[in-house]
Amino acid sequence: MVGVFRDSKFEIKEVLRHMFNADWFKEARFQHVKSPAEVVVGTLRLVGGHDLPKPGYGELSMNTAYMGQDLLNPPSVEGWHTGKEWINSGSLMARINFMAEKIGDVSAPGVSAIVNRLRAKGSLSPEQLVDNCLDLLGPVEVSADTKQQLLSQANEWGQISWSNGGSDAADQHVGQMLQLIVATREYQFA
Amino acid sequence: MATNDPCVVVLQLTGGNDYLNTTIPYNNPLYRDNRPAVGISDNNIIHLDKDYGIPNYMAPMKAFWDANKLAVLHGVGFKDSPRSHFRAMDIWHTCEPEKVGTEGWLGRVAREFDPNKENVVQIVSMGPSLPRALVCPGVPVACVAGPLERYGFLPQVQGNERAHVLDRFAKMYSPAIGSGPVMDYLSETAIDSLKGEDIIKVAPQKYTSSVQYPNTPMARKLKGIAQTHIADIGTRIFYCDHSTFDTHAGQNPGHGNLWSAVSQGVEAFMADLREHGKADNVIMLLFSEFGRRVHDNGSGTDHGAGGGAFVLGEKVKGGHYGEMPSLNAEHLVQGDLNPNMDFRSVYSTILDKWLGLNPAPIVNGTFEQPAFLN
Repeated sequence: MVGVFRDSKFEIKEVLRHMFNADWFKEARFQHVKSPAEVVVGTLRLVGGHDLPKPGYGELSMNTAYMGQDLLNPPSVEGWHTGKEWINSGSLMARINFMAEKIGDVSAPGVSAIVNRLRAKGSLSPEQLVDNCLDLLGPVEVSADTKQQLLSQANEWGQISWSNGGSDAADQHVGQMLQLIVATREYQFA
Repeated sequence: MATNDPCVVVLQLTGGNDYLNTTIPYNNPLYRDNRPAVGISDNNIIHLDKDYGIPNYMAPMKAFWDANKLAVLHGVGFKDSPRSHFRAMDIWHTCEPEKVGTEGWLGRVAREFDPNKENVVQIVSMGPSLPRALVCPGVPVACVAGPLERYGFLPQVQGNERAHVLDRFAKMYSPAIGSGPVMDYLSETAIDSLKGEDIIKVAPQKYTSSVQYPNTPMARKLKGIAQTHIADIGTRIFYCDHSTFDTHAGQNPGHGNLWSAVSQGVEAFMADLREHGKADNVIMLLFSEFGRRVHDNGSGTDHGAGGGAFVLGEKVKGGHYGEMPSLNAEHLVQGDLNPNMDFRSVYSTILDKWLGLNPAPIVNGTFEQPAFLN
């Protein structure tokens, strides 16, 4: 990158072009553990409805602290230990419980939008449910073992359909599938 | 485990506690000379004896001193203080002043006690972070980020469905060959946590007490520890912290607020244990990663070297251990107190005299043991 910067006579645009096209940049996806701030802000942006100030933000903001990152109050002037050290039994519970609670609310604008996109397909096989939910949540890349577990759950529900009075159940199953996905190991990475 | 097995509660004063304003050499004129801005005035000092006092905001600690249950450890630290929070804390946690260590001293203790990982709640840490002192390969640590009652995955799923969902969750976190060390760590953490949640949740259900804890985060952590200890679930090591003692500015009243929370919390905690007849097998260690500079900066104090530590409990032999390092300018190291008691000495006494373990392989060496335990 230094070389590109010099060769281009110090053009930032060229440096960025080099970076975005580099294999090492693309391969860095899903390699670092999300910080609590990324978990909370990312989840709130996903579920939507938090664009303007409203009551309850104080408690929402505390969730990063429950996950080990008390924003604006680091343990010392050096900040926090990051990466793998974001994860311990308590913080993992806090992360998963927060994300699952938010993403399981199918009335939230962002979740509702996901449900509507799936509803537009009419009905979904178990495979389609899993693949579409993974795609709309990221896309999220999961291991074969994780996918098998998601598929096993979807198979228990069978074909998902929004017709013939199955709308509520279908919405609920989408919400539950999204909850399972955000609870996976893979979803802890960005 | 037998219900009277010795337990250790570690209270970490994160950020670098100001030793000189915690154990005040009130007769030493150099204390006044060096603390024009943040020195504790004479009328706000509670005398422990003819040489030392504590600030009045630490008043509850005086009762432990009077009962001969508070050991004051002087000049604790290590050579060549890096004055870095991360590095200094790592040194305290891993007992590795020369290189970056990966195993914590208390994690090693847990491995000694339970090499086969039969008890997943042998270490309970109150707080959302995992202190490196507790880290050791294969050693589970239950970190409780909130109230004990809410410890567990997916609390919104209840009823018959819960067991099914948690079983699915456990399968998703099953170890997978070749998934990498971080994925493996996530698996291990999740599976151990699942095993521990049903055990820990029982603690508050079995607990009643007449002791009123202050309404502070510090006291809530200590209450959680008391509940867990009283529940007899086999926890031998408890950990919690309070922060931030990094008082570069606004040390007054900041330091007072911090120590008020700690002192009042500890007072309630020990009273609670005594009420339940569970105090005799508990000692508390209070430490900080370093002390602060001798001379204040006009508003607070900056990172220093030698500091102090406290050990208290029913079986502790109260008194002073070691000597406060000289405040004379010619004896300071770059303006800081020169530590004269290696922190691993404190650990060694606890390991040898309290936990019955050989300290050498845990603290990486042999160190003099101050005799603060009967």
